[in-house]
Amino acid sequence: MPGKVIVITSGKGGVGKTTTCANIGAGLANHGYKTVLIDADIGLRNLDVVMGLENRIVFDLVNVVEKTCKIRQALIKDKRFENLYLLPAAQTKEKDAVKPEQMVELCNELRKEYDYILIDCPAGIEQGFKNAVAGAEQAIVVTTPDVSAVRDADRIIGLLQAREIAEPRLIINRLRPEMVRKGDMMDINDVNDILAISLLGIVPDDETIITSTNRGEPAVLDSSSRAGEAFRNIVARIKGEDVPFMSFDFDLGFMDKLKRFIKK
Amino acid sequence: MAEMPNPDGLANVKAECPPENVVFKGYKSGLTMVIADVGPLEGYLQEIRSKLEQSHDFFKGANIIIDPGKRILTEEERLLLMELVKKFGLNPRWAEKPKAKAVTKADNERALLEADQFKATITVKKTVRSGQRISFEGNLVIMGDVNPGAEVIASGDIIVLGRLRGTAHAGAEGDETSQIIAFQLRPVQIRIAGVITRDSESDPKVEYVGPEVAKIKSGMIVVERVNY
Repeated sequence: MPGKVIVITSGKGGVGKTTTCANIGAGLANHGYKTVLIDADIGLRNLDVVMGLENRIVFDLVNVVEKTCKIRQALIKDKRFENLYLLPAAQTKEKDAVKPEQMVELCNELRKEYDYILIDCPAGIEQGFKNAVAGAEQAIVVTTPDVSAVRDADRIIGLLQAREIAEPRLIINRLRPEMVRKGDMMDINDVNDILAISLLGIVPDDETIITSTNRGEPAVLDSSSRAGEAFRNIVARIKGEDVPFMSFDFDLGFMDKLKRFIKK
Repeated sequence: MAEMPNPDGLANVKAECPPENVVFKGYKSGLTMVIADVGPLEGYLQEIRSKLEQSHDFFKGANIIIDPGKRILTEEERLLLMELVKKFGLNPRWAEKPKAKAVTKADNERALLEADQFKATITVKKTVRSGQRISFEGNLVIMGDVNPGAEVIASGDIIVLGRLRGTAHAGAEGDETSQIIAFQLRPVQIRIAGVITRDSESDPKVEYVGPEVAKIKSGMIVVERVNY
């Protein structure tokens, strides 16, 4: 069976695309799937840092599409998983160093050998975005529960639908239950109300993510991390399992409800 | 919730724009100068002149399509228009039109009358998302939501079978009888003909859930519950 190519995108920067990509990748590899992560954020590469693989980069994405090296030479094997690979972005090139057709070709090549190919998309809707989505058949849209991120996610979903990529799925990242409870943050329903696409997961705001990202160890492997648990659920849903959503103690007290009502 | 929808829920701003008979529009096919179908052409020539003068060299060298709408121009009038536009450094050409047989004046007037009564209508079966823009000469029916950051524009009415949370402009060519109807009317901004109104910024919001209609009443946009 040919592998699946999934692009992870958001429109807005800083909502957690790269962290999501690293965690889902590690999670899939942990389940035994041969997985490749492609960092399509040329000029602003991060995925290698988050994976803790920065010092092993020799060749990169641009070298591969320009055919100055073989795909196999550019793929970096992960420290923890035999079956997880990273194709890093070039740091010293521009976004237009890669063309969409080249990405399609690369994805088709990787599909033959790997189960999952995850593409970490750069922020924005320009060339980098077009490259990243060109070869993908599925899309995951990451947003945080704030108005500007949701607005940008909406824009991205519109663009993805115009490209006839299968119905994109949504990850709501960095949800802060106590802020939602106080009515200071958009809740899941508010986000769903606007975006109206199927929900792949909800990741709570979790300090362990920051430390694990800085250490280069995906939180998905940390059994004590709430965010890690959310990512494990997301990985299971990508595999096709039906996993209930985590509960965030959203039951509002009467006074909270009243406060929210008045705020509206 | 039983309270009545606040008719002032939308703050009214009367846009300062006189009726425009000549409009410059950017279509996919290029910059287009649309001239109103009815009324004396002489006056419109003056309007074109003053508009192009105001624009200074903004349009200079641009390709422009002249669209006289349903108006039938004489050879003389066509020449006059071309010369005028060329004088301002533009490259004009005529809008492509379906070839008509010899049209009499009576035909012309009847066609105009019919066109006023029966506007073309299209349906759009999808949610219009941020950054997307749908415009149509006629009535527009959206079977889905119009999200914040999206724009829907029609020369006639706009009907949203869903939530309208973006920007809507009905009667975009000046028809003040146009209306905007939505299952849930929560727009960022509404325009009907030359009148603009924006979402009230004052809390608390009116939380009436149900179909509402926006229309012009004595020069202001008012929002009412749909009651046909």
